[in-house]
Amino acid sequence: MREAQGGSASAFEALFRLYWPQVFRTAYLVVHDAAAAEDIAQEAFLAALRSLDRFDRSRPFGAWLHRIVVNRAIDWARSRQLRREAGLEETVAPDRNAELSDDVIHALADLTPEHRGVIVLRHVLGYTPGEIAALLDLPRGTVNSRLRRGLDTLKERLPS
Amino acid sequence: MRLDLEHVAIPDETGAEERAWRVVRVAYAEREPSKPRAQRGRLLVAIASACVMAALVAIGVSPAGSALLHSFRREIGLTHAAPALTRLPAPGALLVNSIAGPWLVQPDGSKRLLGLYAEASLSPHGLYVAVTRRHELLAVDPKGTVHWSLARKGNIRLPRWAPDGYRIAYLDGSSLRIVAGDGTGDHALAPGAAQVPPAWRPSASHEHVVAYVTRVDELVLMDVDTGRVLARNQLGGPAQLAWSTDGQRLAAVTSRAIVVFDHDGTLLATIRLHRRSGVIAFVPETHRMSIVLGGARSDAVTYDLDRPGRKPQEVFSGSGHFSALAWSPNGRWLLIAWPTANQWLFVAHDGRATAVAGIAAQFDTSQAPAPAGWCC
Repeated sequence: MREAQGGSASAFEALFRLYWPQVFRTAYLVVHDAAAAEDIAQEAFLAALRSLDRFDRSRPFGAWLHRIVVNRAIDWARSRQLRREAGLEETVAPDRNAELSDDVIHALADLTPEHRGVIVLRHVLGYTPGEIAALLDLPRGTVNSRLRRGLDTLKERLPS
Repeated sequence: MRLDLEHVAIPDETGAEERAWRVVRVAYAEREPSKPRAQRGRLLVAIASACVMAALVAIGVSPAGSALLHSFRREIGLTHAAPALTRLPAPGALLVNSIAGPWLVQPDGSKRLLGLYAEASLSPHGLYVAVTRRHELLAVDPKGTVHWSLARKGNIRLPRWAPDGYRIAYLDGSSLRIVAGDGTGDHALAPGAAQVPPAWRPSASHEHVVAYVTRVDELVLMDVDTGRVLARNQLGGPAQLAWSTDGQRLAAVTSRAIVVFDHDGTLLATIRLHRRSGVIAFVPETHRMSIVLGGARSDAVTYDLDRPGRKPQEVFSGSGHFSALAWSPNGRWLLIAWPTANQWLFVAHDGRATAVAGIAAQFDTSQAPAPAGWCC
């Protein structure tokens, strides 16, 4: 991080390559649209880049980036949902991939964006409920209830 | 649960990473890294010293002093830059891509934002603009009125209008597709295309020959109406493409070479570059091509592709990054976008240069707007 702040392109590329897969995956699992996830993840890196000089190196870079991408992905998914409800946009089925992917994606699609964000932070990025509460600026109880409800819904939807 | 989520397949995952990296890398190269606090005092002293030196040199007016002052000016952008883009130095409308969307600038400096679109390409006579928006390709007129649109499942990018206006080539993910200029007859032409703008061969007849690069760095020349491949050539890496306006020369520019082909895809010459290549633009009505050579500083130079052994002609040199080039339709002015200085430069064919300062704010964006075509 210090070298990236100092202008080392190779250090910045190493940071990008390290975090891109999980950032892109996180965005995709929340928005279910590969093109939108690409835009959101890319914009998260550009936002991080704009604040790079001010970044406090004593804090974890990953958590900072994850906070940006999850919030942006939730905002995007929420606005897409509103457009659908208002009849402004046709529902687009998720891309069909492997059978396993389809099951998971369709099950996730039944959750609200806020629930998907919490599930992804917990079960893809491995944050504890307390850390998620701090990242999303939510009460811990809200995180726990979203996790519980989200998992209950997924269990119902996913084949055993 | 964790295992399942980690194994969800995402379409074009690798391509997304590389596309994003190209954008993020450019943004990183354009930022000014901050100096450690301990160095800031020394930096202020250095800046003050430089100002005093520049003043002394200006007073001295010796030839050597004058040269140094000239160089100093160029380091930080041209001084006496115009505060606003009040007019273009040559006829023709200028298309500009920005984060806010594409703009069309008229010769009197008036400009119009065409809408919230990602990329834009002018039709050959400037009557329409092909624009993209995620999964959508649209044709709008210079007032921004949408004439037609079509949607595809993939991410739509890099539309390019054929020279006679009757075809548009564009990328749907990695699939190269063709649609007629009126929005009808959309069809896939070839899979596995690289994220490089397809390049139509200029022609007086109504032929429709396009050059494109595949994901395995192969240059393909294809007649889109018959589907016949006219030529295939393996390149030494990812390349950008440009045709001379007479359709007789095709340049494929990789990071370290300009590969020159004849109109039918026959290899004519390879010009090795000793610095990283940047953006390119053919000088209208010639076989000369301007290119940015990058590094800590950038140089815009012009190669004569018919004399590949000759040294290039230097056009302009400056600190930082030149992000776009566009020749005026009459071939008299080269526009160089210089985000490091937040300026646009207009360099005349005789070497005179004028600049416009604060260019990003004039296009309502914090990031550098890039000229994408100067037409008719």
